[in-house]
Amino acid sequence: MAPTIDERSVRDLAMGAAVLSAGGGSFPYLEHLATVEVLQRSAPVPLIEPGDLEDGARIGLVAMVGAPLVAVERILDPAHFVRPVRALETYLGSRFDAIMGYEIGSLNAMVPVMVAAQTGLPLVDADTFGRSFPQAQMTSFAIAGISMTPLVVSDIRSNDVIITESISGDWTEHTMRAVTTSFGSIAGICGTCSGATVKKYGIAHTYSRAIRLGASLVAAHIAQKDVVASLLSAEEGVLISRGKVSDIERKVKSGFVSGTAHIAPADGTLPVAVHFQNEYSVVTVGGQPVSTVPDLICVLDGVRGDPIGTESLRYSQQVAIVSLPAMAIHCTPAALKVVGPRGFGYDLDHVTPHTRTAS
Amino acid sequence: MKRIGIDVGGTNTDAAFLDGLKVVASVKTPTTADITSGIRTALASLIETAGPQTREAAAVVIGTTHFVNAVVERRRLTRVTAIRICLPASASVKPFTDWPDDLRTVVRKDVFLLPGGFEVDGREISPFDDNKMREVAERIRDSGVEAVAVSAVFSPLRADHELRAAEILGEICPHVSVTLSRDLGRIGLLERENVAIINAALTNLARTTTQAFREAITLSGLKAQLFLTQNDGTVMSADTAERLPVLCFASGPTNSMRGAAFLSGCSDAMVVDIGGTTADIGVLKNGFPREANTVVEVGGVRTLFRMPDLISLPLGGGTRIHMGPLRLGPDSVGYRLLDDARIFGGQQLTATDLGVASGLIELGDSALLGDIPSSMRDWFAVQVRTRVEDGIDRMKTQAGDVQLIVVGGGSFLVPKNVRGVSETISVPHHNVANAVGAAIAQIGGEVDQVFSDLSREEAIGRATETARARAVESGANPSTVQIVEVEDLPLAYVQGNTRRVRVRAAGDLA
Repeated sequence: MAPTIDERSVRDLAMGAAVLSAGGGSFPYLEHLATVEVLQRSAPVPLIEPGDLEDGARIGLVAMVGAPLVAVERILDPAHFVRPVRALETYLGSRFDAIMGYEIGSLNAMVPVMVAAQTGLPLVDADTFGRSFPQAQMTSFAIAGISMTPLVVSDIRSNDVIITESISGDWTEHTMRAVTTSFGSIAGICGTCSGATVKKYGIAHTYSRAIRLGASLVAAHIAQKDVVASLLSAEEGVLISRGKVSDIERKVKSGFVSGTAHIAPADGTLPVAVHFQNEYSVVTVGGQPVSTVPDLICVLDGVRGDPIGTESLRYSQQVAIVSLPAMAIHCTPAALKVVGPRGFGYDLDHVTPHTRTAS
Repeated sequence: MKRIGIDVGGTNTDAAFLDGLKVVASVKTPTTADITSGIRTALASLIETAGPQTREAAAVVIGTTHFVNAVVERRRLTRVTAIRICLPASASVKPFTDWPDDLRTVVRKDVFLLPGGFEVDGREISPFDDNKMREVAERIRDSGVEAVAVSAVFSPLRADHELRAAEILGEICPHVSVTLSRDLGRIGLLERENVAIINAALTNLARTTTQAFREAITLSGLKAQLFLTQNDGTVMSADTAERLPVLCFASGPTNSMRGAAFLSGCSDAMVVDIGGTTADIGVLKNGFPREANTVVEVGGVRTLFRMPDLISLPLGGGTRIHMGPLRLGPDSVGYRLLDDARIFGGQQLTATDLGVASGLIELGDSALLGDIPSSMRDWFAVQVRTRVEDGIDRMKTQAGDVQLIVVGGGSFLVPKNVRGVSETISVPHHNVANAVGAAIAQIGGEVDQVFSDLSREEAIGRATETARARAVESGANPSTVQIVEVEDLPLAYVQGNTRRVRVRAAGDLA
């Protein structure tokens, strides 16, 4: 039985979404507050089981695109993200039956909840990333070759652009980014797909997973229990190391902040390195890779257990490095080409400490 | 130049008189509830010690925790109306969201959202609407509220809309005090707005407090100019402090660190300041405290403005030793140390008692300690060492040993040969390092801005120029202005070589 999202469980969702961002973001503080505001004046959002969707159901796919750093000034407004939904409905000449998110990671987990609450539509318990990844070509839909168009890109000031057709996903993303920049580097987007597509290519149960994850973290935190241990037991995760950040290097490479955090394990075992490109992508122990994308690599505060984004990593932080199993859909040969280590430029095959994938 | 530095702490008011670079005299007196009489006592005692030349001081520089305490205690605060210039953007998460209920109840009056604000690239989100602003100003005038906080989206980049709002408020309700967020905070609308609202809530208190400071100086027969020290280790005029009291919030620990740098002659080091209740650990970079780049909670409200990066450990001279099982603190007897500690005839075993028992310091009557077993002394040494070493480690940003300057009344607690420390430096006048730090404070200028379509060097160059100009504008001697901090951060998703640059400059008072 999938839960509903109300003003209380949205906090669990936000915390779980921070974990699933795999370092791509921290706790989405402002967006969580904005979502709580909407939920205080709307009914709780029902989460619907993707398997229960009718093949012909019309789904509105939503997200914020742009610069998270701009969102600390231009605080995300729920009404802004309803705009592209209504515009696409007008263009298509039909109403959506449900809302779904493109990306469960960090603040983009909040946007679909805002839209669902505001429109009164149910939210599909699924997304197309299963976590955070840096590029639109890494969605499960893109990997399956499903077109992103028609796609509406909306400004906060009643400016809407509809990309009716593109020759490739790269072109859709390129166009979308250019439009987003002109809108002030924050835009709401809405695309569409059928219930059948969600069932076949969507990544199911990511909302309930995030809520479950977040709830176990929040509960452990309140009970002053070991937050990391709670996460491991809730998610069949593997603790790679606990220790202290002994060095951190960052550089900007083709628009992404990448780098390496070195961790000196508390028990004096071999040194650990976590490589990141927006998100954490590869962990090595004594120079040997032990877990790589698409595994979900998380760095948690060693004491409080809060997920730490790549931007917030600091020298001498006490941290726990945890690997959670990758989604099954990310472990097919076709998907690994895009979201495996080679997709991020590492000369490695997928290395994982897990014997199973997450469903 | 002769200067007097005063640090008004919760327990003690410390004062130091400096002639040029020489500390001529220093005193420690109890803080009083009315503040003025405590300062007068300190000044009188300073004049008695250093002689009549004390009256020649050109400047009195005061550091105080008075304002931050008012927020923490929710006392003497003024009601505030918040104006956010943002529409049609940023209409959710309205001003005062996520404030503690008790603080919101005493501070919030009205909230208005108006069209305007800027994009990250400097374009307007929408044009500023003079008529709507006038309507709001009239309602503010009629509401009788005394303080207003104005914030606009991306105002650290472009302040036009906040300034225009202030102009209209000045015309229509000239007696209302106005705080602009761009004068205080960094990028981060909600946190900057929070700082502006807290500042506005303190404006009445700031006026009466600076007035009390002025009176204390005049009544002591001094003709000195009054300055207040701010969070970054530089000073501002009393007039500026009246407008921007939040900038004084962390001046206590900041002054200690600046004093430590001055007294040791060491401008890059770790500083530990141990008082009666806490050990504050900070880092000196170019003689100034390293700043926190993260959200700092003040009285339960998230803020983001210039504050020193500090950790405060529950370890001081008054820290209680609990028995069965043996535990060090975290509570302290605080200012009652002279009554409660065993060596002074009291009943409570404190860190100072164990310091005396361990031969770290001679104080009080060690005969009153009775039998302190060596196992307890060993336990105490390990406890203190572990806390200090962990604290120092947490403040490091890179591996390697650092120099450690030790100041404050409880500094005898810091052990020899601390792990991760290459050299432990003790300094003369360490008991009043905070007052010395206040006396030597410089005038500063800061820039925190996003630059587009400039090379890294050009962007930093432009920011450096502005920071220098701001320091001189505030009263620094141009020939002494130095750049104390440069930091830049590329913005990954924004096109066109965009980066955020932060530069701080500081120079001696002209």
